[in-house]
Amino acid sequence: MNFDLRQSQWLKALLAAGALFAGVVACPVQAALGEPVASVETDRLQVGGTVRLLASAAYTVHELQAPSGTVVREYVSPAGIVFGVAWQGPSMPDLRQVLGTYFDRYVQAASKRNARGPVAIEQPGLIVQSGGHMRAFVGRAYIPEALPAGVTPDTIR
Amino acid sequence: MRVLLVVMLLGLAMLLGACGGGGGGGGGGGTPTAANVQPISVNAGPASIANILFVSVIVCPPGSSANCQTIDHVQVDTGSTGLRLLASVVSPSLSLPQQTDVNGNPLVECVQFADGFSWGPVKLADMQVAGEQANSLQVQIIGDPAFPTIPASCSSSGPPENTVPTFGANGLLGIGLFLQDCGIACAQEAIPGAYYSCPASGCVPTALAVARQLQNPVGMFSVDNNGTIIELPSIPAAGAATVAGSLIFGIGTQPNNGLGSAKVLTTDPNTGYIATLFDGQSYSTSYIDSGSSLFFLGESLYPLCNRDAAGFYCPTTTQTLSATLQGVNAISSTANFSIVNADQAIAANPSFYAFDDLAAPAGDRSTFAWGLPFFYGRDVYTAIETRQTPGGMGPYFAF
Repeated sequence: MNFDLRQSQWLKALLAAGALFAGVVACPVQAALGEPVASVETDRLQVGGTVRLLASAAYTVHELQAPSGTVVREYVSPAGIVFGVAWQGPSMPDLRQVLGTYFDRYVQAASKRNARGPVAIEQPGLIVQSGGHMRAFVGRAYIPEALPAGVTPDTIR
Repeated sequence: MRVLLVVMLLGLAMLLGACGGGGGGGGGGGTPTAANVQPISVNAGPASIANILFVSVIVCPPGSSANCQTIDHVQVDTGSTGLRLLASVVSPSLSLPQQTDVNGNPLVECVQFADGFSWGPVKLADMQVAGEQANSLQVQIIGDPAFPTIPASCSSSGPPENTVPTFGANGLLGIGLFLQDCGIACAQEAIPGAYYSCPASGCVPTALAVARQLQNPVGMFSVDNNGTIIELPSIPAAGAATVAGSLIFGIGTQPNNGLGSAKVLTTDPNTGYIATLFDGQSYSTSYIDSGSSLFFLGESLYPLCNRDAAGFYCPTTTQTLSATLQGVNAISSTANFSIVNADQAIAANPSFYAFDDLAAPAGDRSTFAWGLPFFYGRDVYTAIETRQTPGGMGPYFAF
């Protein structure tokens, strides 16, 4: 409980910082994997819900909550490129939107697998992981080569 | 201030009093009870995928006992809720009634799995399995040619699974932890990728009352409706071509379905997750799921296969392992298991479809899905949310 309270205060502080930051980068918006953050807004309009902006030194996180409650986080490099996305919640996110041009590659690779259950696609230039079960999905995707210096895959969650 | 404190203490005492009791099995009493055991099996099935657990169910139009069809090779899934059948295996002569919204438009569902989606109309049927019956059950008919156009908001969650080969079975008997597939979220909002209303002009997401969503068939039974047990025997280390076992309905409702020495691990009531401790790591996204065909754990724990079992783990030597599963109630239980080189295991016995030692990466470092390999040699209990059992109220897993 204490932790939650502290976390929410921490979030509020970050949101305040984000609001300031937002003044610099226009408005808090989303982009698909591998695309520049400037292309955005599409996602928010399509998915609806609310957007939060969290900033750190090495990257910026755009967090969007869909009406279902599923949260999508997009990790943006200092160069303005979305290098990773993560999701968690009761429904799958719109992967076509979130993965952008990588969606077809993901579908093709996931279709080939001779198993049922969580998916882990590992290709040069693309990692996609989709797991969980009905009412509780979790996953992420990232471009290993696009991670900013000092950022590890564990950051994307 | 002191008065307020006393009032609060009184309130607390009343709350505690209200929390007592519980338990209570809902036994059969003196009335005759239905047979609650259905044979299940693992075999090549219609799609030749290893570790798919199958059952046969009988489907009839609501209220009819004459015009019925037995549908075999329906996958048993403790990781989802609801009966789903592929349109291609359902006889058109059943004429199951189409469900409609308040405006008379057909209701169609998009069901999402971690590995893809299925699209098809919601119809009504009576379902029989063993001596149990679920009347007027909502059923999804997947891949129905009457609804060929899949909305983009449905197809955007991954690969399509609308045919028997891509679905891996003739249907899915979802008998998991939850009473409905979506629940209150879909009753409050029209959620893209869930239920759709389909007038001639095209399908649009719609909110749908909880009672009209796909229901847990076991929860609909008149008896033995608080959960299930899956009993599968141990299998040889090399695997087996086929395995036969039992699906038992009810927990503590009959002489044959008591908990015995099984430990009850309660799950998070919203996610159905437990925790797994393995190799010094805590996996917080953990669940027991007969519908997952492998152990799915972590990422990059072992080398990946590159032949028949592409994407599976292929350790150079067989890994003999142990992990601790822990419920939200802090009850824990240890499971011993092995992970073999999947390429070698499948190449050694290409006609085998049951393996208790195949694994694949789950993706992230917090996920550990105990798929069907976990079920061999164990009696695994799945208790449905809000239902009382001698081991407490669901949702929980026990083994």
